[in-house]
Amino acid sequence: MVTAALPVDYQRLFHQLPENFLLIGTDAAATIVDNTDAHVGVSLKPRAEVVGKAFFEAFPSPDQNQGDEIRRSHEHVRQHRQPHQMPVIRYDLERPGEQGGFEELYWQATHYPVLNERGELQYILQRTQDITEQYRAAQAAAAAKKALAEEQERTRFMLENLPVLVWTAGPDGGRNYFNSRWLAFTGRPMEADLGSGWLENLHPDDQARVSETWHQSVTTGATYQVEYRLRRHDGQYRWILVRATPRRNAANDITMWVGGATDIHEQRQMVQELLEANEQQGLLSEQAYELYQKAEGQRETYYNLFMQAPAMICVLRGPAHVYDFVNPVYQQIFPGRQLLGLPVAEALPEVVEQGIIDILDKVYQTGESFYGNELNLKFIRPGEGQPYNGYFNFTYQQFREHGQPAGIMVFAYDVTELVVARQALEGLAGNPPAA
Amino acid sequence: MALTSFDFQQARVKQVLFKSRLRSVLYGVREAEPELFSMRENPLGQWLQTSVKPALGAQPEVREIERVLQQMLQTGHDLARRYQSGLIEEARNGLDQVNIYADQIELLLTGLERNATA
Repeated sequence: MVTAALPVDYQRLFHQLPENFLLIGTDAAATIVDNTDAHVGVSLKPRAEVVGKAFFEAFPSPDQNQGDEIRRSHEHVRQHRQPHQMPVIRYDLERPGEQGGFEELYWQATHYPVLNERGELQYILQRTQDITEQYRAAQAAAAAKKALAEEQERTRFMLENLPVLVWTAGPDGGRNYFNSRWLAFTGRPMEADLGSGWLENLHPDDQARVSETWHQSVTTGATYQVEYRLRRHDGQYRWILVRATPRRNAANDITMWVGGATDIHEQRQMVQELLEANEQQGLLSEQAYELYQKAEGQRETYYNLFMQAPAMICVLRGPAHVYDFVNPVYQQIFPGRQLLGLPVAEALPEVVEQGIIDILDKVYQTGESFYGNELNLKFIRPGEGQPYNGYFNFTYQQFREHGQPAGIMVFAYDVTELVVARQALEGLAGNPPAA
Repeated sequence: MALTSFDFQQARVKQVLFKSRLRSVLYGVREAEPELFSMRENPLGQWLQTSVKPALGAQPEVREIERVLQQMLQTGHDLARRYQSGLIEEARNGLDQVNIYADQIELLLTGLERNATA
């Protein structure tokens, strides 16, 4: 055995080794023999409180599992006399003094066998490395990775399930992703639409225009907006509205494009139908208006005609024979008397007993016209003492509206002067003056 | 000839028709014809000129309708140009402004009608 050149204090040397060493006996209780100052430092317990004590008495296990893990490792070394590295364990140490409580620590411990000359196990040397920091860093990295994966999954879920057709493209404009809505819509595999394959699935009349617009956007970086017909899985071309925006990095370079499309086929159709309906309505309303104007014009013409006619004209409306229209010649026969708006029986009560109302009723009911010839009527004129004794030639003619009797049209001539003159002549002939 | 409610109904139909035509331009259903935005060829503008002005030219509403209609046509023209230059959504969003003008015109027509047919 080689001896040292100088006398060496091996215990001092051991105590000051810059590692956490704990020397343990080979007994079942794993009695603690000694430890380094560094071990004292990290274990937060004075040497006097651990040396000579059973391992688990000095350092109680926080749980059964970890205790078993340590026991198994000790046993491994005892049996195989080979170093044994334990899995990373959490082994919290009691804080000394007022601080109190436990400090959360992670350890990587290895048990080494120390053998004597005969190769028998003399001690178990535990080397413990405090890997709390590395462990925490690894934990944090794993958590970050998980969070990232979760975030990606979230994004993917959103892209796949939004009621929108979504795609992405590289800075060169080549499409590199389509969401499942898009693929379900077109019924084509993703590979068919990648790059510029998607253009094949557009309506032939739209391909050139859309390709040009997309190329423009890719070149200038301007937002891409376009409408076109995309072939659906059933072969029908549907109008869609597509909008895409470029994503830029810190250097303002485009790193990708994300596009979204919505089916606007129904909307567009509705706009078209509405336009057609409105144009039809506009046309109809124009025609109705023209007809109305024409009817108005005609009404005015007839009105003027009747008003200026050199005959007595009036219109009696309804079964009560209400004066609806009276021309000036007619009114002249009844100067100063209110006719318009009144029934004949009320406007001219004196004609009732002369049988006029009965004739009017009959014409109104049967529709047979009545022709009066030199009919004698007597009526009062305001300011005249004697009733006016007049003779009239006239017609009463029913008029109909919507297939129903509506009133009577009266057309008359005052032939009083003629009759009176003739009567005078007849008087002369019948009674020749005495000779 | 005096204006009747029939005339005003006509004006309202023309108004809706303009909006419908503009919308169809902004939805790519039909190409924009230049006369769509011309005051002289706009049906409502023509109605103002030939029917309303002779009868009610002095009413302040007439001038006001003319002014708002001019703005509506101008806005419609701008929207059609926006649509043609690829700003599809921006153009369609602009229909809100057209609706505001249309509502103003409707309000003025109602006032005018009340005065004219009272």
